Amino acid sequence: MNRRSPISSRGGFTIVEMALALGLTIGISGVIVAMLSQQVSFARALGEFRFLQNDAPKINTLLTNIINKADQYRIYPDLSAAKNSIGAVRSGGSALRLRFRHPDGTSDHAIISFETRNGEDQLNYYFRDKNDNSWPSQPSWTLSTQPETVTFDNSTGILLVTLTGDSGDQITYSGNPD
Amino acid sequence: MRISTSQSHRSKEQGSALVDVAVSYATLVIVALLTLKASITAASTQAWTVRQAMSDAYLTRESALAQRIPFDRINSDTSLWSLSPDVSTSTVTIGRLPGNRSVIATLHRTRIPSPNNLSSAGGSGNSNTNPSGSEAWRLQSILVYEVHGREYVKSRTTLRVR
Repeated sequence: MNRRSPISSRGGFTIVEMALALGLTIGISGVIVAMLSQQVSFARALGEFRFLQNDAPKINTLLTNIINKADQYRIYPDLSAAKNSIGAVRSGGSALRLRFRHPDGTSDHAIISFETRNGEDQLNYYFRDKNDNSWPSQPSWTLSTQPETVTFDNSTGILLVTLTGDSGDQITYSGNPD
Repeated sequence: MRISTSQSHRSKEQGSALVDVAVSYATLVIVALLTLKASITAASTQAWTVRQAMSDAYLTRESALAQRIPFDRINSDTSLWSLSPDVSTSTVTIGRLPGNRSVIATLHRTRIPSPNNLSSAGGSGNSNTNPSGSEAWRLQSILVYEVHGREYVKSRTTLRVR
């Protein structure tokens, strides 16, 4: 008994034990990596719906509230054409010019324009008071920076606002449902 | 005797390690499955919500169209709403999901005359029951679409009178 080496009496690990431990470690690590990968994939997939689920309804509510206050609208290809009231179109427009008529016969005007400013896609609102002689060069406020494109269409007699997100997702609202 | 006890203790420890590993594996698998289930539930809820929003938006357009269309076109041969019991059916795209995937639905339209309309307007009224010759139509649009294999139906009815 006294001749047993101190090493063997310490009870070290055998090759089989080491292999088992390594295999289990690799297995557990693999499962964890797979779980992380799955979470990332799902987070990305869920994020793609954010535009349709969150942004588009908010934009629609804003647009509907604004448009329903107007007594007249016209669609133009872009902001410049809308400011100058030149070249109105029935479909595929990026700018919507609105008129808000007052009881005394005077009118305020506004333009809702989808445009790229400083490299960023923006849906902007320009407001021209009845006392102003020209349109503001900067937007009065920005409705949203989320859509990839926004187009206005009146070819069916109803104002249709088509919002497209950056994943190809798209929804069309009726701008003047009432 | 002491050696025997030590060996037994060691083999118990090894067995305990295996149990630990098994429990760890099981816990990981359970967590993974629960996470997967939660993610799938969240994703399917989103898809359902988005399709509801799209179908609502489409039917809002239908209602707007029914309210605005000239009256003469309602009862014409080229009317978008067929005279009941006929139904005009078309396949429509109500929106697109991420990845440019179209969401398709089936749209049914029919127009139902008021029973007191004159015969020229699809009713059985006459100059006694309807001396002013008034005309009323119910324009019904029915949208049928699917979400995860389940069929949903929404309808909007607009009354037009002249």
